[in-house]
Amino acid sequence: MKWLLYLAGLTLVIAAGTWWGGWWTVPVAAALFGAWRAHARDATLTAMLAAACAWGGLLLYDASRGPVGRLTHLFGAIFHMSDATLLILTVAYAALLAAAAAACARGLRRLVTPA
Amino acid sequence: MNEAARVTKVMTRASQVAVVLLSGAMLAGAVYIGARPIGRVPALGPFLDPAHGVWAVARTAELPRTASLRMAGLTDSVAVRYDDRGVPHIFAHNETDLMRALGFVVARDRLFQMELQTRAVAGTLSELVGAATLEADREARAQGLAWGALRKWRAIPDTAESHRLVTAYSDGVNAYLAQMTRDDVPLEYRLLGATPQAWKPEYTYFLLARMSLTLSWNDEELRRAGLEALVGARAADALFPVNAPIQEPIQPVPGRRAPRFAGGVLPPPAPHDSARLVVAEAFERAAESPTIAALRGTGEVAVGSNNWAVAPQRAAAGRALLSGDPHLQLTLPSIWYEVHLQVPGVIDTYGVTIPGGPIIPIGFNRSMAWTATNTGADVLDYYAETVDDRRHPTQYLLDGAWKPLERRIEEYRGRSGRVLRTDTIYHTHRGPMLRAGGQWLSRRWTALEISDEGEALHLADKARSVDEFMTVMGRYVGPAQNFLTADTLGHIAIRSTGFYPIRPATVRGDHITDGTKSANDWQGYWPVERYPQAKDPAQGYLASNNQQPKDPVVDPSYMGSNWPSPFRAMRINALLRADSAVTPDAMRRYQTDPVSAQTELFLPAMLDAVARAAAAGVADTFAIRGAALLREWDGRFTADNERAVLYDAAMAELTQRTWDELRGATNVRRGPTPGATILAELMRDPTSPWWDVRSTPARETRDSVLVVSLGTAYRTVAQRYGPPGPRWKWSGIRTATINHMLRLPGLGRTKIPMTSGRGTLSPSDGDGAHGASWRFVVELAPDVRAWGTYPGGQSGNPVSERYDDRLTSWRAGTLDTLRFPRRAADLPAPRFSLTLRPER
Repeated sequence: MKWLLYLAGLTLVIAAGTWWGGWWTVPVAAALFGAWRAHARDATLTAMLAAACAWGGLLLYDASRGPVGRLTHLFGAIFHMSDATLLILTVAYAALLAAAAAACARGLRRLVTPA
Repeated sequence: MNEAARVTKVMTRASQVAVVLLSGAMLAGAVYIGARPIGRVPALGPFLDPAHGVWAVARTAELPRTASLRMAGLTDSVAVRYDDRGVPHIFAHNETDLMRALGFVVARDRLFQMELQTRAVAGTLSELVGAATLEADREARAQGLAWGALRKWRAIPDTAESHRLVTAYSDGVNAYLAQMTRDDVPLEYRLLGATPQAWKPEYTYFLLARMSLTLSWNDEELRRAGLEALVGARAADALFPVNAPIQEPIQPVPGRRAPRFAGGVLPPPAPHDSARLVVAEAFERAAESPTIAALRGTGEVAVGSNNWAVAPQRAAAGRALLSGDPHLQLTLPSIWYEVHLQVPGVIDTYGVTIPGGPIIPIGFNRSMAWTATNTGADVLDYYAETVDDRRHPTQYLLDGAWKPLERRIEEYRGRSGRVLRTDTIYHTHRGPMLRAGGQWLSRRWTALEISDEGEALHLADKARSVDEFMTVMGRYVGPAQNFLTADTLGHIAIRSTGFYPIRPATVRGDHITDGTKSANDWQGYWPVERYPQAKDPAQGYLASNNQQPKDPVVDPSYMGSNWPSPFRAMRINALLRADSAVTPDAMRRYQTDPVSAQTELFLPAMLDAVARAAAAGVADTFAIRGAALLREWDGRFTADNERAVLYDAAMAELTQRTWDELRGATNVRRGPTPGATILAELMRDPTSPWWDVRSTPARETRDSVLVVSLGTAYRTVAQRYGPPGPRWKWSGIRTATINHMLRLPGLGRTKIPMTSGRGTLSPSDGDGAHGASWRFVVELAPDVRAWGTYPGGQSGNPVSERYDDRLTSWRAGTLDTLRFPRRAADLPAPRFSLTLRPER
C-alpha cells in the first residue's frame, strides 16, 4: 500500500515536472527519489514505473485532446517502423531516464551513508 | 571485524560502486541522447516529451474554437471567422490591420512552409536541413533570386502602399511567432531540431521570385545550342520553332472557328558537329536544374494551366462565367491558402494567396473575378561574355573597353553554423554570370529587374471592373501571365500581361547573344497596347492554355519559342464553341474533361498504318492486337478505362523512336524532345528522313514507325500489367503524387487516380507530381457565386483534419461551394473564431 502511494506520488511529481519544467525533470525527480529512498530495495523500480506512468498518462491526455493515433501512424511511415514504436519508445525513454537516475542516486547515497 | 565480514563489506562496496558506475553511465547516455541530436535524429528529450514535445502536435492539430489576442500595431479590432472549410474570413477596419491579421492567420496554419519556401529562394536551406541541400542553395544563389528580390524591396519607397502593407503582413507573422507557445511549433521543425526564424518583409518578394523561377525561367538558348550541334540550325529552328505549327491563339482571330494548321515540311537533320557538341553539351548540363525540374516537371504535358470565361450571351443564366485552373507542382501543404479579406468600402476579396504573400493573385470580389495561366514568354536572355581571366575574371569586354565585373561572395552554412562552402558570383550590367564549357555567359531576366509586382496585384484585388483590372495591371512586370477577367456587368477580357523585352532586330531571343556589344542589349519593353489581348469578342468566350498567345499572321513579333502544344486549347475551344448555354456545372466538368484533341490527330493514323501493314502482311501480331484494342477505345482518359494505357505507351514509343537523332552518338544523351505538335507536323510527311531509326539498317517510314511503336507498346504493357483486363485500368496507372515539401514519407499522398492524359485539359505526366493546383468557377451574378477546391487543405499540420480534406473533391473533379459573407455575422456557426485587438 505504501509502495503504491510512493508510486502515485512520484508519478504526479514527474508528470507535473514534465509539464511545467520539461523532460529533464524526469531524471532529477527520480534521482531525488532514489537518494531519499536509498535504503528501499524497490526505489529504482518505483522510479522507473512512475516515469512510465507519468509519461504514459501525459500521452493519454494528448490522445484525449488530439489525433495521437494519426500521429503514431505518421511516425511509423516517417521512421519506417511499426506505428506503436514511437509511443513505446517515449514511455521506455522516460523509464530509462528515471531508472538510471534513481539507481545512480541511490547507489551514491548508499556509498556515502551505509545502512 | 573478522576477515569474512571485511571481505563481505568490500564486496558490497564494490558492487555498490559498480551499480553507481553502471547506472551513471546509463544516465549519462540517456541524458546525452536527450539533450543532443545525433546525426539526423533530433535530441530525444524535447522531442519525445509528451507535454510539449512532438506529441503536442496532436493537441494543436485544430485551432482553438475561440481565441482572443492582443496584437502590437493594430489600430482597431479584427474579427477572423473560419467557415466549415477552414477558410478564414478576415473583417478589419483598415487595410494595414487587415494585412497584419492575414500574416498572423497564415503563419498560424503554414509557418514551416513559409520558411522553407523563403529559404529555398535565399539559398539557406542547408542551415535548416543540412548539407544535403547545398547544391540547391548554390543554384538558388547563382540564379540571383534573393539578390534580385532584395534589390526590388530596397527600391520601394517607405511611403509606398505596397511597402506599408508588406511590412504590416510581416508584423503579423512576427506577432504570431511572438505569442506562439512550445506546443505550437510545427512538426517539421521538431523533426529537424530547428526553431522558426523571424519573418522579414522582403521575404514576400522572395516568394514572388520563386514564382518567377517556376513560371518564367527560360534557358531555351542553352538547350538549343546542343540541338544545333546535333541536327543543324535549320532543323533546330523547325523542331523548336518560334511559331507553333498549330495555331489556336489566346487572342481570338475574328471569323476563325477552328485551329489553323500552319506547319510545313521539316528540314532533314544535318550531320553531327562533334566539335560544337562538346561545348553545347556543357551548356545543356548547365541548364539542367533539379529545382526547376521539380517545380515545373520534365515532360511536355506535366504542367498545363487553363482558364476560360464565357460571356453572358453564351451562359445559361445570362451571367458571365469564369473558370480558373492553374497547374503547378503538387505539394502538401498546398501552394495555395484560401482566404477572404474585407475592409468595408475598400476591399472585399476572396481567393488564394501564396503563404508569405499579402495578395490574392487569383480570386474574385463583389464585382469581378480573375485568374491566370502562364504566358511562357521569353523574358530571359543569355549573352556570351569575353572576360579578362577565364578562371578568376575581374573585367568583361563591352564596346571595345573593359568594364569591371561586380562580385558577390556567397557563403553557405550548415545546421551548426559551420561554413560549408563559399562561391563567388560575377555580374555584368545584365545580371549574374555562369560558366559552362569554358565559356562565361551572363543572364538578363525580367524577374531580376527592379519592379513592384506586389503593388499591381494588390490594386487588382480591389478592381471593380474588367477595365479597371486591366488598367492597374498595366504596370505588372512578371512572371508574364495570361490574366483572364470577367465582371458583373457582363464583360470578359484577357491579356497576356508582363514586361516583354524589345530586342534589336539582329538579336534572337532563343539564341545566345554576343555580349561584347551594348547594341545587343534590350532596348525597352513592349507598350501594353501591343500585348496579346481581347475584350468581349464576338465568339462569346475567351480561353488560354499556355499556347502561343497571338497568331503570327496577326502579329509576327517574337514573344518566345517552343510553345506548349495547343491541344488543351483546341479541346476547350471545341467545347465552348459547341455549348451556347454554359452553366457553372458545365464549367466544372470541362476542368476534368477526359478527351484529348491530341488523340484525334494520332490515333487514326496509327490504326490506318497497322491496317495497311496487316493488309500487306508485314504487321507483327502485337501491333494487330494493339490496334484491335484501340479501335474499341472511346478516346477518353477516364479512371476505369482499360485502353488509354496502350495509347499512352504507344505515344511514348513513337516519340522515342522518331526523335532518336536527338540522342547523340552515344544514344543516351538527354536532350530536349520536340513537342507533340511537331510530331503531328511530321505525320504529314510519311517519308521524312526523321522517321528513319538510325540504329536499324532498314530505312523506316512513318507507317513502319507507327506500327512498331504500337506493337512494342502492346508488348510492354502486357509484360507490365498482364493480358488486357482490369489491371490495365487507367486509375491504377495514371496517378497523382503529392509529396510533402520535405518529401517525408507518410506526409504526402500517393497513387491518387487521375482523369488525365496526353493533351487533356487536366494533363499529367511522369510521376504525376504536377497538376491542378486550384480549380474554381465563378458566376458573376449580382450576388457573386463561386465554387472551388485545391489538392490539400488549409492546415500545414499533417495530423489536422484540414491538412488534406479537399483531396476527395479534387480527385473527383467536384468543387465545394465557397462562402462569401458580407459581414462576420452572416457566417453561420464558424468552425473557429479569432479576435485580434490592439494592445492597450
